[in-house]
Amino acid sequence: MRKLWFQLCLREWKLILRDYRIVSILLGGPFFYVLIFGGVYLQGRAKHVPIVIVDQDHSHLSREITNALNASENLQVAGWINSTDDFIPLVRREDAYACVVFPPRFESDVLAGKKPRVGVVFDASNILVNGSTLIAIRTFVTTYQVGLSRERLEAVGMSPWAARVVATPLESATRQLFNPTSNYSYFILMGLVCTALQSVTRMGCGIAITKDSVVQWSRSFPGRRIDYVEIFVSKVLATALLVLPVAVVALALPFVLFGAPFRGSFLVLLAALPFFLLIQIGFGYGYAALCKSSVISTQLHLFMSVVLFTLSGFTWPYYAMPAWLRVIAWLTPLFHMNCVVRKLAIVGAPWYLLYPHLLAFIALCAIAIVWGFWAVRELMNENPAAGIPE
Amino acid sequence: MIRSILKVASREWQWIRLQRRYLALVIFAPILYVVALGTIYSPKKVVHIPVAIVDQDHSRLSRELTSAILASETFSLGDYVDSPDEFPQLVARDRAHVCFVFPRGLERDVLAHRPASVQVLLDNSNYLAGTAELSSANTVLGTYSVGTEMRLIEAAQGVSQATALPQAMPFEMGTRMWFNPAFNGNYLNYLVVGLAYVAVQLAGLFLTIRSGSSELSGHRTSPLRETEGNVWVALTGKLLPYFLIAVPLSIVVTQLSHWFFGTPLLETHPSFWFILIWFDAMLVTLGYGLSSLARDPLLATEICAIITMPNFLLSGYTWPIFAMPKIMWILAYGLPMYSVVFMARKITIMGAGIADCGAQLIGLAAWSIAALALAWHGTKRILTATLEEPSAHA
Repeated sequence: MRKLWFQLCLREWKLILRDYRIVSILLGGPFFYVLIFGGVYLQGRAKHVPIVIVDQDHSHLSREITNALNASENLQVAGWINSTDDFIPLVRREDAYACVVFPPRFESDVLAGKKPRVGVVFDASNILVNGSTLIAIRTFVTTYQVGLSRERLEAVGMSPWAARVVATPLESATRQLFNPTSNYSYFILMGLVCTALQSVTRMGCGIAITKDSVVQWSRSFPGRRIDYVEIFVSKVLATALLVLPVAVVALALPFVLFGAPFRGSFLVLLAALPFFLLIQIGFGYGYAALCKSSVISTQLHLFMSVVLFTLSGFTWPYYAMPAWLRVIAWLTPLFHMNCVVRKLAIVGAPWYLLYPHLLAFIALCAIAIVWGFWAVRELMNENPAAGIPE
Repeated sequence: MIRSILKVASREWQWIRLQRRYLALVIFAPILYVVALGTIYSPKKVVHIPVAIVDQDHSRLSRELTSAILASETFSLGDYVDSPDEFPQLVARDRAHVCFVFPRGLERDVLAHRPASVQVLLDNSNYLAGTAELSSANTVLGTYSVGTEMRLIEAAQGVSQATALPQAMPFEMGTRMWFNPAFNGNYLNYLVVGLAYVAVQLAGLFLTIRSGSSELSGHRTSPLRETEGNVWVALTGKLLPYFLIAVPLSIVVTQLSHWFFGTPLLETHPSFWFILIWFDAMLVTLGYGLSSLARDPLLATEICAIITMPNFLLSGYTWPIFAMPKIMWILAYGLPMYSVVFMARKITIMGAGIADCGAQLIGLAAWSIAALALAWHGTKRILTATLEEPSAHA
């Protein structure tokens, strides 16, 4: 019996490994994408975002705030310009992303208690980079506001201690848990790796199944009765045994190679991974049967990968989606895998807090098995001419 | 010559009409893609982030602060808990992603002019949500802090509110958002507009991904005799029908988010349409070139996957190129998506003209030359095979 299963798996491995297109997708794809994605986000944060200054005051205060902005790791004063009109061409050339404007008589108005206004003009066409740039500028300006407020209170005779308390009666001590340095790669890299694993597994399985047929199977095992359960199980088993080690290494790479933190139990991740891959194998067969072509199913997966990644809630949070869309998100395996990976790796959650996702995996596995079995049966019968490529 | 081109184009059109399933994918998938992404980002910004409140003070001030936090559209009540230690568990269960801790004696300390602090714990495991959380928490608490400071100055110095305000806030910060006035964390206006070009790129490449290989695999019944070996006639004739499908498709895909979801389109300068049509022409040529050289549509699709899958991340649209390692700059500037999404953003959102897109134009021109060279070489190979061995295609 064991020998028979080994032979069945061996036949499937031959089918997969003899086709360089399947090998490159299934075994090479995850590493290619991990290295590319990891390379893009290697720096982790958008540091030294170039900003320009319009200093119409040329005062001690405006120079002091400019120096403070320049001293920040997030910002870099790229130059001084005469007016905000000069800022637009700089943005279009990507030479500057924000502009801080000190109006004329800024310092003297502050000293006279006239409450002048520091202007911040910024390129809002890139929300990811410029959102954090705006926060960085706001932080500096607020710090200066508080400092000046204290100085003014001291000037009217208040003790430094009392001035400090009055200037900041209510401090907010913010702690950014799980990713204190706001490292972009820590949070996004693992989600992208899971998405790549999903796409390559589905594509690889879709191609492999369209290369096989009952005729070929009968030739491989002459005289043996066609048993679709046996064929399906052997295909899934052989593919999973090939993909699992690749997936483990690909998932470990962000932590080993790119220094992302892993705070939970890797064993829990290893337990969830086979379920995820099993679902992808079943779905890969299923989509191939719906498309009836390996080329069309591969192209469909390429179209779907961005949508599924977005739907997984890894970047756009799940609770911010419309209610009906959350139901669809819950039905996608990538949503659960990304939740498991993020909660395990970044939040360090114990396994018992992940049970809704693990239960969803089991339910999706059942769907994948039924759909995959139907697909294998359909394609093996419909594709009598397919042969193992030389 | 024109007659020969039209003959080849007519022959290609008949072949396209036979590929119904394939055509349906290439036409409907990009449309569904944009509709799906537009729907996901339709709330526009991250709102209703569940918050946990740890109120150890049970005072009027803590209740007032809680009400102010929950009045913000960014936050919604997740849970009241006894200790901040429970917060990580709430995060893991998705029941809270921000935690405000009002310590014992908060109101008493504020009234007694002693330093008082509200602790804010943020779940930064999702950077996008974390930025929204931080910004909103700072806004709510900052406003409250300035209000309290003004009341304290009024009480301590016996001055009016108008005099206390400049002391509490010696200068203001006025923010002006250029190009995307509804910024305020609006991801729909920004991401969907850029991601639409991923669909345009995939559709353009996939349209022609089988047209070259099918000539070499013996699937066509009539060879390209009409061309009499003229590579340019064959190439133009073969690409014309695909180009005529790609142009309206790309217009629909790039404008869908504007029509359905109201994303801004500040400028519809003719240069935008010129760039879009040029991009379509480059894509169908590149797809055909890859198809005719790879001889295998699956292999050509895989090559497209290598080019397109990391292309959006590498384009610098979301993650700036200056923040990438230098080695990645080559890929970022070298792949076609960079040129197009930046030109589209500059023209449609920033109101720039073609003169502001110098570097991107060079990029697109380089890809166009490479695509044309591939397609020319592929067509020559097809013509050689068809004209020298006509019996193989009979």
